[in-house]
Amino acid sequence: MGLQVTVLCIDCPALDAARLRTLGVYEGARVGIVDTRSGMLLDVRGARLALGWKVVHGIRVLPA
Amino acid sequence: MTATTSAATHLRLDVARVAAPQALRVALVGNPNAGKSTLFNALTGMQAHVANFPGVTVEHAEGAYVHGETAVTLIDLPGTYSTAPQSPDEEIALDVLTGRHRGVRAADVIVVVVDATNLERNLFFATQVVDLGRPTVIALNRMDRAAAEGTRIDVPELIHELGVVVVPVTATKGQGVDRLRHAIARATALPPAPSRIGLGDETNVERRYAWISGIVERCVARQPAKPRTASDRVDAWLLHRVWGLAAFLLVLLLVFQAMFTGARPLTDGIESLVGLASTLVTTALPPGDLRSLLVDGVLAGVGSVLVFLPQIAILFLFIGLLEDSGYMARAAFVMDRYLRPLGLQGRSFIPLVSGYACAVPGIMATRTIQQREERLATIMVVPLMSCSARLPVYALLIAAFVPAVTVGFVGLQSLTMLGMYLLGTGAALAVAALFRRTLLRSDTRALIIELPPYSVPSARVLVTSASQRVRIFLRRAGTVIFSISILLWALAHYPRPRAEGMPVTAEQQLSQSALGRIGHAIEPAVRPLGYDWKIGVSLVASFAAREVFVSTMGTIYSASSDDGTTALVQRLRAERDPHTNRLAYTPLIAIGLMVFYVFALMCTSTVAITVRETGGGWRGARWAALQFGYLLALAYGAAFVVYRAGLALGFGGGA
Amino acid sequence: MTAELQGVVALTVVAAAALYVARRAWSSWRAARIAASGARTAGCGSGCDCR
Repeated sequence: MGLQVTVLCIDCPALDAARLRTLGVYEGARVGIVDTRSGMLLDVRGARLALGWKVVHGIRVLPA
Repeated sequence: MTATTSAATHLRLDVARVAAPQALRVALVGNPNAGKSTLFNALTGMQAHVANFPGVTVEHAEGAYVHGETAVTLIDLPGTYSTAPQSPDEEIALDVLTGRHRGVRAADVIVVVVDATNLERNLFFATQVVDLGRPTVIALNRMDRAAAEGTRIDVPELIHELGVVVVPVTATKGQGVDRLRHAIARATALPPAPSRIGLGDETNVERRYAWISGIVERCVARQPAKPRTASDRVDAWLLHRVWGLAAFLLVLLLVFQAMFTGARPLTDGIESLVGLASTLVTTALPPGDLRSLLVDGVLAGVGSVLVFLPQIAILFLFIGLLEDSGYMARAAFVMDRYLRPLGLQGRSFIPLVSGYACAVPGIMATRTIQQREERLATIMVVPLMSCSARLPVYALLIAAFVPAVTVGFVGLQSLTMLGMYLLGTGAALAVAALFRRTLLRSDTRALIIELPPYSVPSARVLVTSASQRVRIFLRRAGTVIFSISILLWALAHYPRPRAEGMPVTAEQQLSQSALGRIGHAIEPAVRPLGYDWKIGVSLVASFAAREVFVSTMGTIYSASSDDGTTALVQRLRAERDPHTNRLAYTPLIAIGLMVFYVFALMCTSTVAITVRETGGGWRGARWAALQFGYLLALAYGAAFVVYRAGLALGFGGGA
Repeated sequence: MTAELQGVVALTVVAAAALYVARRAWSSWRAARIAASGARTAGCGSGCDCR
């Protein structure tokens, strides 16, 4: 898909949210969406991050 | 200390000095996938060993080297993303790093490995470490790959921005390693880096990333290229829930096919060598106990295990290939979807797959699973993933009793092998699900996994690590199996039957030996499974280590054959029950026996590590006992069902 | 080498092997005890390929 988005809100359990933030996925961050067919594959500052469904439901993004 | 010729010996003598407390203690940290292990090996030149921190059960790799006048002890810590720890692994790493851990002297120098191709996220952790205020050196790794991507990093500017020494290296090629050693040696003499404004708080993620963005902008000239589109396209397939799974199964099948057919020439070669050695000994010595010990005990016993070396080596190579190429992470992601309904997550996948090689590192790999219940459930079932020690057992029985025909384009033998592996894997998943619904309930954590870029693993690295494992296997063969073969030979030859004037056949002599008597005593317990006392004895002996089954059978059949040169496989096929004269072993019995080995836990190392990783002490012992017990029950039950059902269906049993 | 001498040598080898196995078993047991008490751990035991 190759879309650049801004993370709007993260609504996950605290521990998962903390891990996401450490990896660069926090509110206001710009990430790229690579693929969403199986979970979500993100391009976060050059690295590829794969997220499982449970986490994906808690992340809202806005096209940048 | 006499003058030595080889540099290696010189280094070894100095390493002895390193154990002294004056050695410089250096900790190696960094993100996972940053190349820490490769750099560790490059720095220590493979002179590493596994050690432990006192008071905890986390292992780390410890090595040493000498640079000029300085002796250095290097400690490799687990990969970490942040100084706010999020798993048991990370906690220990950080405690040791910050000196909070009692009983361990804090490191004098910290080396942070930063992946130049993934700069921002790596710098997140690196700058946190620098802020700890201890002597720090940054090793900027993968410079070759960064250059290939068109990324140019202004290292002096980076040093200026960060306030610490930055040494560009390429660990896989050994470039920059000497400069790194130099920087490490001088690190304690430098003033600490100034702490950055407002970043003392380690939870201030956004501000730190913002600061790092600024640094990267100033120091890095990047090509506006779009790297990894090809890789992303591949990922679109490999991460797909159906195609990804299919791909994984295909990979497994390929591996097994390679193991069977690819290894054949080497296996035959080793078998001939062992036969040659036997002949040599037989001609060199007159008949007697020593000759029998050497031929029937040592050569038969150890030889029957060595024969599987090529297959095991191929397995190790493939596992290394899957890991280093980056595929494992994708497989873990695909499997996450299928593991969730069972109560596991994708992170359980890597320990499980490691269990195909050996349960012990598989169980240790569960440390990345944050959740206690998920971790315990994974530990309980890892032994069900058929480890490499089971390979000789499967291979022997398949070679003897499964015809070498092809079904379509795949050999029946490989299919049987695959079947055993699938049985173990399926059982592992089922039992894990059961555990998670009964004893070990909890919510599952979400999966967040980093996918490293695909890379072609260096053949040299692959071969080195595979040969390290092979060497360990050989060491085990040379020591434990060697001694046990000798002992088994003794049990099979003493006490000698009283000479009553009649010539005694080898079979009778075996039957009356200590081993034979034990076997007969056990026989009632194994007869329901279709086994005779010879299998019974081998079974019991292999509870110490599975390969012992093969060497025991080797010894028993050498002991009971009058000519002593027929191959074990042929002897098994020809074996008849002395009373009924029916075939002692049939394919059905062989399958049942393999099924037993799929399930039973027969490895003292696994028991030991389970005790440790489940908490140690009596608590750990209870979990290990539970693990052993349920696996034994499963083994006996399954073997029983397979045998009896097979008989009922008319497949034909033995005596 | 005569048969008697062979017999003696064989028995010696067996005894040595028995001692070796006993010593390995003893140190594994002791390591497990120490690990259980949480003080230290002795590593993986015989022959597995820890990484």
